[in-house]
Amino acid sequence: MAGDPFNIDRGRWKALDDEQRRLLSTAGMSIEEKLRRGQRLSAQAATLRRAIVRDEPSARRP
Amino acid sequence: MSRPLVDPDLRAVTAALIAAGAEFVVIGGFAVIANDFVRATEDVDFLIPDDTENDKLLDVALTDLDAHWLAPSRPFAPGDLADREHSRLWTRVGLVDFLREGAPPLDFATVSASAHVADLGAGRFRVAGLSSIVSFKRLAGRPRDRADLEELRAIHGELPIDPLPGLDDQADD
Repeated sequence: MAGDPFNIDRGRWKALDDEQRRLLSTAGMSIEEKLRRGQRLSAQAATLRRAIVRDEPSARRP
Repeated sequence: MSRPLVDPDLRAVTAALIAAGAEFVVIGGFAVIANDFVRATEDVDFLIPDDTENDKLLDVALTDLDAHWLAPSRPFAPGDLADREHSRLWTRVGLVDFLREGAPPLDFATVSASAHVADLGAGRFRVAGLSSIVSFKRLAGRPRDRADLEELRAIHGELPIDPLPGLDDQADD
């Protein structure tokens, strides 16, 4: 997006953020459900890290 | 070589360890998640016993997972775990960390006895319980660990505190 200093698609970012908030509630969940949600959150975080590294290569961790 | 940004795949890595017959307990971020603070994590952490026979079973699993050491980057070779307290490797299913058991209450038997049991479809495995997670986090003491403890306290109330050798005995001096 022109003028966006972070160069990340805002629609995609908002969709991930909305889903992340939904995934944070654990009431009544089994341990497997919690682990699967953590897995999904971790995948989302990795997706965001990849997007940041793609657009800002200097942000890659050593 | 910079590490690849591969999602940590708990099901795949535990499946490989179960298939090899290795003993392990999931600790770290996924154990925090299992104890109700669901957050993202970038790796899968395991507590392993101080047992050379179990190391051989881990060798099989890590070879199957195409494990590599991070720095300097080189392929994992059977026997590499020997005498290591901590091993951090990347695999085709993400980053994995192996921590060798310590003194009680962070020995394998104690952590295993109080662990949860989970099954993601590839067999049953243990995930550290709240008291063990609190002990690991108190001992590590990094900002991430302190933040986890704050979140767990907000969820569970007062946390179970087991005295830790090398930490709490110094506090008594």
